[in-house]
Amino acid sequence: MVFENSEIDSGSSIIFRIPARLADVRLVGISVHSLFSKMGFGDVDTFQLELAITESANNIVKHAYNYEENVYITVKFTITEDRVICTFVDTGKFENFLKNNGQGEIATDTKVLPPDSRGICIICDVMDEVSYRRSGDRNVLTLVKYFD
Amino acid sequence: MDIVLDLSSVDFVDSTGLGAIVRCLKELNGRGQLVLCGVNEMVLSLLKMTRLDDIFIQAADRDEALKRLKLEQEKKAAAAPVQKETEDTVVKPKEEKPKSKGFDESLLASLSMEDGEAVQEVDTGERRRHRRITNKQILGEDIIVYCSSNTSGKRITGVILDISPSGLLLVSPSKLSVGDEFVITGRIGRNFKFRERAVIRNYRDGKYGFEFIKPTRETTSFLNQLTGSVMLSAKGRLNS
Repeated sequence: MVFENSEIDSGSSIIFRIPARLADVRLVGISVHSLFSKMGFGDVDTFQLELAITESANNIVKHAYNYEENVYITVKFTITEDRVICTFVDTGKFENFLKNNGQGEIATDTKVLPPDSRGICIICDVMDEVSYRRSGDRNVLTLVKYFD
Repeated sequence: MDIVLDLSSVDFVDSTGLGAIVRCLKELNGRGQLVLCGVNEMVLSLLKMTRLDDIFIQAADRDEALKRLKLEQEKKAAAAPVQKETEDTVVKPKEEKPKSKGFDESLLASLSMEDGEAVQEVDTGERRRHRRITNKQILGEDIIVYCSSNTSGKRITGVILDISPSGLLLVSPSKLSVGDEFVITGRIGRNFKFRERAVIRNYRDGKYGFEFIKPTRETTSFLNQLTGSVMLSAKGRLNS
């Protein structure tokens, strides 16, 4: 069951549970594009959310799971009056990709990110808040984007 | 060999896709041009976001791309003899390159899409110990440093093109020689000031490659953090 994960509250949210494979990540990207587009988001916001979600899930496949098979990513999208919250939960290795940016665990200035972390740079650039933490045996990545 | 990459049917690219395009450009290694055409607004915004828009030649469509390539080839052919004549004799000041007319080799050499990569190959065959980061990636503006020679008393001013924990690439209108030793003083951002001894290891096209001589722990630590480089001990273990 998706809701057995304590990091994800049930409620008015949409939850995806996908195999941690790059091909399936792309399908989530396409799905959220369609979802946010139908919900009335503009082209730019929709593209940016699709981009951040794809980059985040790609990172989990590559770095947390190291392309391991038969593992899953749970993604929850919550939309409130002023923001979209995307929560990614995986059970892979905790590798804090925000640690090298010289700003602690929450990146706010993407200009000081190392040049090889282009995916992370993109996520931080298009989202308003990015946090990553370990909770029990799970990794929780949270992205927040506020509406203009 | 020149390549025209038509992206008119592409409405989504992520960092993996960008990595593939950058690798393509790296493979060309200056032996040809890569022109992107039909880039839609969203993909263009991604190129700008990742500061890659300056290193790719862009055209509206295939026809324009081919015209641009032809023009570039003609310019290159016309400029070749003049360039050869002045090479190695004149130190040119840094010039502003017009947008979309080519790519900055130093920026290109610093690009890496592979996480965890600790060394980079550059076109001289040199194997680098650390990642480099360009001035644009740090502040988006020029970082000016002051160099003074203990032996000759010479004082010069230069602009950093890229920097790593091992050294920096500097452009300066002054004429210097490989082997010259300087004390370099500068500041990165508001708070970090540095003063390090460095020696000129190489020179090409008005750019001087300086290697730090016994850099301070503070500078090494700051630059390691800035560039995301890691230090390997003799046993190959990571030193944080």
